[in-house]
Amino acid sequence: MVGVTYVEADGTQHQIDAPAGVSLMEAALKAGVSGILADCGGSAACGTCRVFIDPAWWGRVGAPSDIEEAMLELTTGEPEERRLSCQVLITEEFDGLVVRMPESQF
Amino acid sequence: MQNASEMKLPQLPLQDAAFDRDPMPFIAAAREEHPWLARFGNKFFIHGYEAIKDIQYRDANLRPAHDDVVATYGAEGTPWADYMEGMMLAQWGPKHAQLRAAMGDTFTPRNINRHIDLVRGTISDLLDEWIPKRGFDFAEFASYFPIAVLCGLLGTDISEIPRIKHSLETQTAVLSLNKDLIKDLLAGYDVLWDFTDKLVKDREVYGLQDGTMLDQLISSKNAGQMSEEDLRWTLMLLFPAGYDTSKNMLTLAIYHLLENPQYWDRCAEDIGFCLKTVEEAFRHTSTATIFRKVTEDFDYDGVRFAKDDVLIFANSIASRDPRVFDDPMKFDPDRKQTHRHLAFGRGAHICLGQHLAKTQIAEGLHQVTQRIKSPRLVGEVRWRPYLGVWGLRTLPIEFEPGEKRLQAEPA
Repeated sequence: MVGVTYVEADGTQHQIDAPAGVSLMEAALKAGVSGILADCGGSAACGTCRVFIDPAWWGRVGAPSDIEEAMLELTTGEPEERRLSCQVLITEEFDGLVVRMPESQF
Repeated sequence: MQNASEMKLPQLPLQDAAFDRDPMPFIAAAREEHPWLARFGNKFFIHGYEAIKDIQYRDANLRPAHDDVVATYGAEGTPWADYMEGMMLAQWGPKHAQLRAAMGDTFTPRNINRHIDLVRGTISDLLDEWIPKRGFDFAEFASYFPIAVLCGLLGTDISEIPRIKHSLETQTAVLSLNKDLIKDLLAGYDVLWDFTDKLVKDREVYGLQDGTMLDQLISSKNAGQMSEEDLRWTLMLLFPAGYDTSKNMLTLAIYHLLENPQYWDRCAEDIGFCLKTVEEAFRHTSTATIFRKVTEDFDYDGVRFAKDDVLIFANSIASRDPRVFDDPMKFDPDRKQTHRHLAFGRGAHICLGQHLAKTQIAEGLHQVTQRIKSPRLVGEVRWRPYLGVWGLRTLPIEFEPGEKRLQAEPA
């Protein structure tokens, strides 16, 4: 299991243990973490599952794909180190990862 | 756990003109008998916000119910039935995902942002043509806007639209389940097939233009992501989808502003406020009612739905639920949107065009409120059928012409 910490905009932290191979989105929804809507169910179509990756982890998590970039233009003024959580699959390397959620997903 | 089929549930008159005009008295009465579930004939009508949000997300248990719609019309075996059951909206699972992926980035925020000048130029040109009249039916005016934007995105000629307009309007009425439409539906299919077939063939003969949606779709077809038939059916879906929904939402937004004039000039001055107004418009009253068929029994909140049950989701009025939204019938663009509206649906079938819809409605609102001043309602407001693509059939207004301005940077 991989330890991931999700931090809401108000600072509330959720530390969860997630299996490798599921997306950050799935793991969050399953654990009842607030702050991720994921209205499209994980198909990179809605942009409501955005998370900000802690800069220390950006190299390991990796940059967004082209379709993610196209969706991330939904909003401006957010940190560059952001991903659609439905497109980030958890690996063993992510143990200790910290991600933050925006104040609003819409 | 109760089987839904065995429950005593209120029947709702979804095809009644009184329901079209104002569904809320019927919904309020139905809530007295069950908090989120009612019936429409042998189908189930889900009207509670939380129930719609949760159940519509269950892609593994649901599929589109287009075969049921075809059966209602008694049109099995027709080319129109093949289209209704074969096109992207009717698919689920891997085939649906494949057809959505074939759209590439055409409906993403990035591509919509790239075409913002097209959106702004389209509404500006329309206003140039209509403002001198000093009065018109806004619903009719709006009918020329989103379709022109779509033609621009596709790279097709808007002059073709008048000859297919009736067919587009018939197709968007299909979910009204009005059996009188069947002759028009079948004839309209032939018109739209011929139109899209010519569109594709002409483009392939004369060469692909750079960066248009039509070229993206043809390239996807050439790469094996969709068949020749899928390509034409996708175009046949995009044209009516791009016609009615956004035009109805823009008309509804203007109706809200006529009833709440304190917001008119704020929309004229501030595109950011237009985006908030559009979000509130989607919350208050939107256009889509969504049909699904159960593929595998499932339980929700004490109710068991069985395989082949048909569920109708009241997305258009879900966010009027007083258990979720304070004072829900009050139109208030400044309200804190504590929950996201459900106008675009949820799950794998979430509206493909939602980003385009929001952008073009906001940009439309911004320019309309600049160039129309002192608007007043001068006739009867009539509603479209609730089932189908809901909204206003008529919104007759008169006004004073306002100033045409240079457009600012996007919000």
